Amino acid sequence: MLSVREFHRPKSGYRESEYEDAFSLDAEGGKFAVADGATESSFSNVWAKALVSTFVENPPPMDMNDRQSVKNLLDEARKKWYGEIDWTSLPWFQKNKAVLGSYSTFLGLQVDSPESPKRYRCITIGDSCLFHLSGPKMESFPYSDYRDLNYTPRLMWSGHGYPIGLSKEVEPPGLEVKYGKIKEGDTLILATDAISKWMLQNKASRPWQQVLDNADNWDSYIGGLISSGAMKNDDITIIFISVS
Amino acid sequence: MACSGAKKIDNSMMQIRNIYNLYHALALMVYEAEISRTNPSLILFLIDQSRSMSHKLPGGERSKAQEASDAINRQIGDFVLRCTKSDGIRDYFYLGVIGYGYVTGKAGSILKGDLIHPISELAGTPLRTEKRKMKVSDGSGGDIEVDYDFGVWFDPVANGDTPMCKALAIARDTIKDWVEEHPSSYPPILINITDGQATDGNPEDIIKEIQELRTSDGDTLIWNCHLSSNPSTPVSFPSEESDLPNDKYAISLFGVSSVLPSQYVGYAREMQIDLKDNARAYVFNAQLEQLVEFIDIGTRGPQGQMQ
Repeated sequence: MLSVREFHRPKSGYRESEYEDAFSLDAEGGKFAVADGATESSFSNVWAKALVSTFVENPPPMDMNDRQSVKNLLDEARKKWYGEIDWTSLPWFQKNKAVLGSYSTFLGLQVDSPESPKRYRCITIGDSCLFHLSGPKMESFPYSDYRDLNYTPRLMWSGHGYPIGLSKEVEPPGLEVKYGKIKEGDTLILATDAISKWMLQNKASRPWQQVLDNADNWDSYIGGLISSGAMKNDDITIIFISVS
Repeated sequence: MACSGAKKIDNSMMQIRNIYNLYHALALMVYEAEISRTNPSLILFLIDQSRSMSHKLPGGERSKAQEASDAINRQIGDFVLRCTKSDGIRDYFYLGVIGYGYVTGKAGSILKGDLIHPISELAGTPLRTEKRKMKVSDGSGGDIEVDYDFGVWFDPVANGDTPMCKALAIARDTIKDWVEEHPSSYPPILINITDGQATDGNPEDIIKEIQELRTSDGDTLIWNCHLSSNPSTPVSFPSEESDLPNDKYAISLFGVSSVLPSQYVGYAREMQIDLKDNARAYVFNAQLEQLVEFIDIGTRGPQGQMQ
């Protein structure tokens, strides 16, 4: 059985409606996704939501080719994103930007079998990370060194907005995939970039445990880390998945 | 001997003081403050509207007044674009445009209303928008041409003399108020575009006063762009007086233009501009290409600090 805890918050000083990460989960079906909409593009929150919800609602078969899985996700999520926006009523300055499309990172996790050990597949584009905790061991993917999170990440592009629209095919960007197995007592963590970086930077002190220990005052705990400079002021999303 | 010893101590003290001053200056000049709605930044454009701005700008199809107005309008539009989010415009920036010479001896804001405006207000109040074409990436190495709305906030004027000192005095007072109210903001940026010599005095003293207006993140940055009247080779981002022609006016404006912070040196190098680490924010004899590059680089720093 998978038990799940999820935490998220917008940047300090921002409203919930300005949160541009997204997450979706189906614990029973073993499907989870996080995405980090790029602040520089408009409607990136809509795009991030379209990606995670499409993945969880219509997950690719585990044995489908990884790139084809992402291509299918991209095609379906683009339709959802495009349909969510009332293009013609946008003011002129929003139209100018919206035509350029939206960008987001993406990380999707599928856990497939009910038995133990369970097999999983994690597909990622960009700098959201997966952490696998097993006893004293911690394995992270796609990065193991926090300094690797300083670079501009790969992003999923929605394709153009109105008036070009969906007429042109969009190819998926480069992706990274990890297959693994989890057994009873293990925990998988999905996290967007800022909290991933903080956890990698402080991995010796098992910072994920500090997050769980502060679950009741999560918002002020993370707010304190941000105001002290220990964590970047960014949208934060983290999902803990434990096998029991 | 005693005298020599005292001199040595004096010299050592001076060296220590110099190192301290340099350290202090470097510590102040970081240009890394995050720009947010609670900690916005100020950009002021100064534009010469004297009669000689009606001459054609080498490298362009139109007059200096038209090309300079177009470049600033485009930049305002770019700020609007960058601050546009799904839920509307976020006021990361306050902008102002001060014209000088639109009427002989006059200088003042040439935007409707107040002297400085939050970017959301500008987005809602262009004089008009014009349909233009832009190329957007097709995602597979090619381009697609698409219509877009070009915002126009002010029209070109080329009429009177060059009361640059009057315009700078308005800018100084505006920046002084700004840094008092926003002491930890990304430092204000002043971009001055002119084709001639001030007709109301020597601007050096006022520019020096403006440069001394600072926030905890650095001094106000002064960018001077001297538009060309002839097709001779422009000098972009010089670092020494000897890089300039023997022109009293060029030397004067070069001397009061800011030394580029390292980030801006990097931006210029990304655009294949050859410059030294101590280059100044000055272009002599700018043609259209240099004008556009100059404004682009001058506004790139704060755009990269948007939270």
